[in-house]
Amino acid sequence: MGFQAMVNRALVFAFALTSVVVLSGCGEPAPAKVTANRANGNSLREHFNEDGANAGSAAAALPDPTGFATLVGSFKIDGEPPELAPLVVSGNDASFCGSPLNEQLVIGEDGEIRDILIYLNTKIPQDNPLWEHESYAIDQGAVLSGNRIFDQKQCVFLSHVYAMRTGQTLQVVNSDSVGHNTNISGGPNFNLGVGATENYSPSKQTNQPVSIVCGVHPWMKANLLVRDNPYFAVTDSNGRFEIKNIPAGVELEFRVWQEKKGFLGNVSVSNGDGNFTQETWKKGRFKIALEPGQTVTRDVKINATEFN
Amino acid sequence: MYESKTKRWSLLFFVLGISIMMSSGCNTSEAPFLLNTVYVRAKKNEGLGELNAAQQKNLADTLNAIFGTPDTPELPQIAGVDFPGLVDLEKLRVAAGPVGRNESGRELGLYRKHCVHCHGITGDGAGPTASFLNPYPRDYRRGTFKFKSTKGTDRPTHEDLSRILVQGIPGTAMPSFRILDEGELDSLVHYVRYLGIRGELERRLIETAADELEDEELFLDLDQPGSGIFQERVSLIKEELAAIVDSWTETQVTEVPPPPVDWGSDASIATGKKWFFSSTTNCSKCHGDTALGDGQTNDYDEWTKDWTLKVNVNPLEDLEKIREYERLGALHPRNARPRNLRQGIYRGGRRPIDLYWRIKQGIAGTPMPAASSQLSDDDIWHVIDYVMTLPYDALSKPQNVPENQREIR
Repeated sequence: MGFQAMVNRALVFAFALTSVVVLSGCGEPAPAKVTANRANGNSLREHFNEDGANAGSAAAALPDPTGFATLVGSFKIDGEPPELAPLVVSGNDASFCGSPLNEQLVIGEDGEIRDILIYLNTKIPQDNPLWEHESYAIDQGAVLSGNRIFDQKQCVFLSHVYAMRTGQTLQVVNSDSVGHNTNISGGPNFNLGVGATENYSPSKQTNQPVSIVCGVHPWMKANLLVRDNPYFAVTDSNGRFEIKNIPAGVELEFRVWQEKKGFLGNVSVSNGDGNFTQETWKKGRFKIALEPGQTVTRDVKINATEFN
Repeated sequence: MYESKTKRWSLLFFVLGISIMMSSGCNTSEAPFLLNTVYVRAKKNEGLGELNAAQQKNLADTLNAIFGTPDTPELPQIAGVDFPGLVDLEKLRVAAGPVGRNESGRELGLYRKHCVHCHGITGDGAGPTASFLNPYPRDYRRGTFKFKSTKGTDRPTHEDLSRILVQGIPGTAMPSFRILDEGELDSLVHYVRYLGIRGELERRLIETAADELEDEELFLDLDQPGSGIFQERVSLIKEELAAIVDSWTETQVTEVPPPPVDWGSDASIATGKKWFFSSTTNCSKCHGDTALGDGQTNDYDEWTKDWTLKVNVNPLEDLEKIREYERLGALHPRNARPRNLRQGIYRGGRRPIDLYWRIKQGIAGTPMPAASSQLSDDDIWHVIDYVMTLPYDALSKPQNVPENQREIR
């Protein structure tokens, strides 16, 4: 083959290669990058310091509560709960830790759902006796002890879903003979030796639960919610909850969360008389206005398919 | 002969033409900040709202209104918001924009000259070289920095950031920028903080938008600027910015006590070794019984967890979701690797004071925890004593394994 022919071949080859590269692109097209329009930015900036006629109206619009009331209820699953993937236990401590259960969704014998979190979403005034019943005074700034400690045993967080107030102190405890490394999202990450206790005093509330994990045992997980107010509850193993002394006479918004599902959406609700009606809670929100002195029941059934 | 020559030339032109087209790109408009679409997707996976294209664009516009563009950065023009000592507009303008010089010969565009290739125009740690680096470059948008003198997840001080610029990070692709003058380093620190504050506000706005916006609602609607909701949202931005600024201004250096008198002695090293293997410190659980960094290696850092484990997406199982993230620009999740303590390479600095800070307060954003309260200051010094002997310990000799195979898993 002459030199010319070789050059020709090389050129044809290069051409073919280039065409292939150009035509094939890079597989699926990447989603467009989201960038700003400078003109829009400039226009928005011009309005930053205007006095909104109704600015802050939503917060100011809350009327004073007329008393306090109690909200109780229960959560049950309707149908066969989904299978949960077993936790993968590995590492040096595997024999000590055994085979802990996946607690993403814990269902009782009659379908009761444990560890559902219900909490007040409406922003309410702080340090105001109209908004906070005196029964909560003792709780303020408390070091949470007794059955409110946050313990870990057999490589399991004994409280899978935990809620507390800002200003309170959570005692993180290790009852195991192996060490743990408790990592609270957005908070401290500390090592816990045998029988050790570390204190955690969050100063800022979380809008949603954050996760608590263990760096040494990555299958360990729990959830923590921190709120500025005392109006929250976690369902017990009977699927029941109770929030006492909620400000009454005001429409308040609550949110409901479950680890596997996230914020609950499609539910059936009964006020305790056994008649269930379908409701759709947008991102877990429902509104309720309680009468002073009343105890209101909210029993909730959730279709098992919601948890798939 | 003539014909084949023409053919050859036309082919050559064709190839050249296509190459030029490909290399020149389609346009050369101003480099924009990119919205954190990975975080938008994370919020969707978490079960909050899915923001549509218009809503996402509106968030980008909102951030543009607050912080300007990479070429012309701005400080928020919202009454009552300022960045005392944190972000100085004059300094930003030295670090920002395209590479060049001003009338007096001062070099401009320092960030784009020195940093952007790895850290990205938005400070997302996903510049063009990022996917080839291990560890990945830092994503500033959480405001989380690893090697610093302040406690826990607290923000770094000015000195912490400039120390990294001057020293570089040994064992990583981050070089030293000692060749820059003090003023230049200073302006880069201001620019990194600017990107960090911007990124953190962006995350909070995405969280709020995903949680609260109605289906077609815009976060800041230009059609109704005088409305109550518009001004409420501006107030929200103001509040969030104030909280972010406070976290940067209130951060405090952890005082380091002097080491005990027996520091450096065999007894001190032995005490440190005892702590290293104790279930109080758990050092050996991750760094390994041999301290080769081969203990618990399945964990991830917080930058990765934000869009994976924290939103119930398992990097090893939910591959489809991970692929979606990667198409949005996320780098493939990698495990956080405990440091091999026998190499004698300390990313955050090798001075004893650096090791004290690492052990005492942990490494923010990583599984490395703060020391247990059961450990006294002296005990921490003993652990440092032991750790500093590890590179010289017999175990660090290769164990009949070729050097280049030891790190492969």
